[in-house]
Amino acid sequence: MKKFWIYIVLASISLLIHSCNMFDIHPYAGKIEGRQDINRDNIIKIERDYADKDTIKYAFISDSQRWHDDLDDFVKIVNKRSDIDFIIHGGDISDFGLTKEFLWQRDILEKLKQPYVALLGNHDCLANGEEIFEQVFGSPNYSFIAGKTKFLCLNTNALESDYSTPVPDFSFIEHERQTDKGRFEQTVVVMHARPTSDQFNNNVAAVFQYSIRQYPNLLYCSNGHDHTYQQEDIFNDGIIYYGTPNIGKRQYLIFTITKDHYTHELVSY
Amino acid sequence: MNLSLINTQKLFIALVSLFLSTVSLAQSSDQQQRDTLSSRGNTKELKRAALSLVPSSYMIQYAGSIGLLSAGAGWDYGKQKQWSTDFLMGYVPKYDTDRAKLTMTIRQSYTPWTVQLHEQLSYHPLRTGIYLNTTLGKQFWYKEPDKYPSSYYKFSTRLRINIFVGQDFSYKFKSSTSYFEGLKFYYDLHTSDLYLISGIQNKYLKFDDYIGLALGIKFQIRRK
Repeated sequence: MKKFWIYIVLASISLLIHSCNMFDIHPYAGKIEGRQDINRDNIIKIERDYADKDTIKYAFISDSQRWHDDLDDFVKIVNKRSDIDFIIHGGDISDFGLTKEFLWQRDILEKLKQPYVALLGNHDCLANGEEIFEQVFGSPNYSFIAGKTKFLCLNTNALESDYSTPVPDFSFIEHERQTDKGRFEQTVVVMHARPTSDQFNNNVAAVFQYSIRQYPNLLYCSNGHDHTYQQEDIFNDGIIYYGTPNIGKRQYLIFTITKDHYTHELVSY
Repeated sequence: MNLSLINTQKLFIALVSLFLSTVSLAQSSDQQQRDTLSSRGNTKELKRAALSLVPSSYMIQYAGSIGLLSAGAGWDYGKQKQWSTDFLMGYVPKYDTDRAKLTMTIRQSYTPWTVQLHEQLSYHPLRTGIYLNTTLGKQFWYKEPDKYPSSYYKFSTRLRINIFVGQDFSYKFKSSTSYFEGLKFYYDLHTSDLYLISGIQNKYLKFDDYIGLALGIKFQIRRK
């Protein structure tokens, strides 16, 4: 009988040694191991590699929170394609704002062969999620230029914020319009929650639309958040908002941009 | 969001009342024991009752989703001291966030079997139970603030419900007068509501992604 217990003790000790990397400090600990500042580094790649391209083709995915399996499958599928220049994630990387969720999803996205950038979703703001997002991916407002198209990536999760942080940030929008003026001829605006959604500050929806229309040749806008495919001219001004389904629906959008023209396609897998 | 987590507040109340019922159960069995020993004087009884308010152990713990290091006090009760209730305060360093955090934990554990390995050393092949952890700080809420539409987020960022399974070794000191009568080394494998739901739904996540490991030492206080 004693021997039996000794075996159990030995088995337990070996299990302990095996599980040395299993210490979890706290769900919101914010201990980040591995790659950080991903948007910044990937934007450098995008701006360098596609500077002279006339046609830009990219995939737009969104709302992958707690759909790790489906995001992983997306990565495998898009890695088999050779026609995608980069990938934009429309936000909601985490569901609960847990530090681990950001890292799980980052590690899946890191398997992408093409560069990617991620937007801030409303779920990413939960608890201290925004602090993690800024470390791992970067600022919630940013822009990059692919070919001759400027992508304006905006935080529109006004419900998650208070008046100390402007959402949407009009001074950023205005500043970006003036930056790198000679390098782009047309514009695409990308956000997590679109105007009229529950997250957007709808008091300034019309002002927002006015301010982004000041950009050279605004082609269209795209968003996530609503977990469904959308194609709507919200302000009846010819600017279409394209909503991409959550990744759990196993669908994503592909946009192809040429000079003064674009097409989009909803792909299921 | 199609998340259908259990209403955490209701669950919390249910768990607290469950906990209270086990305490009162333990007390009533204590009472019976005391009745049989009624030959002893009243002073002794009083002393005993007062003693049961004093913790029977202090503890420190590493990890466990409640902090890098946690410290607390516990009460062991039941015929074989198979039940224990612990209160812990945990410290979470700043790491890559803006501020460090403090957490509070109430843990109910059940240790059904004892194996005496040696005169001084005993082994408990199973300790299991549940612990509730709250994180202090206004970033964390029990229920989403009023600015949100009702049931916008159907979970709490402040309250985590954890379950655990572990084992422990108890070592009794030779001295019969020392303040501490022994040490207990324990480890727990644990997960929380949010980790578990992520783990169950995704084959991509491996066991050690959503199951954590905690190590702890309990300093058992001598009872006279």
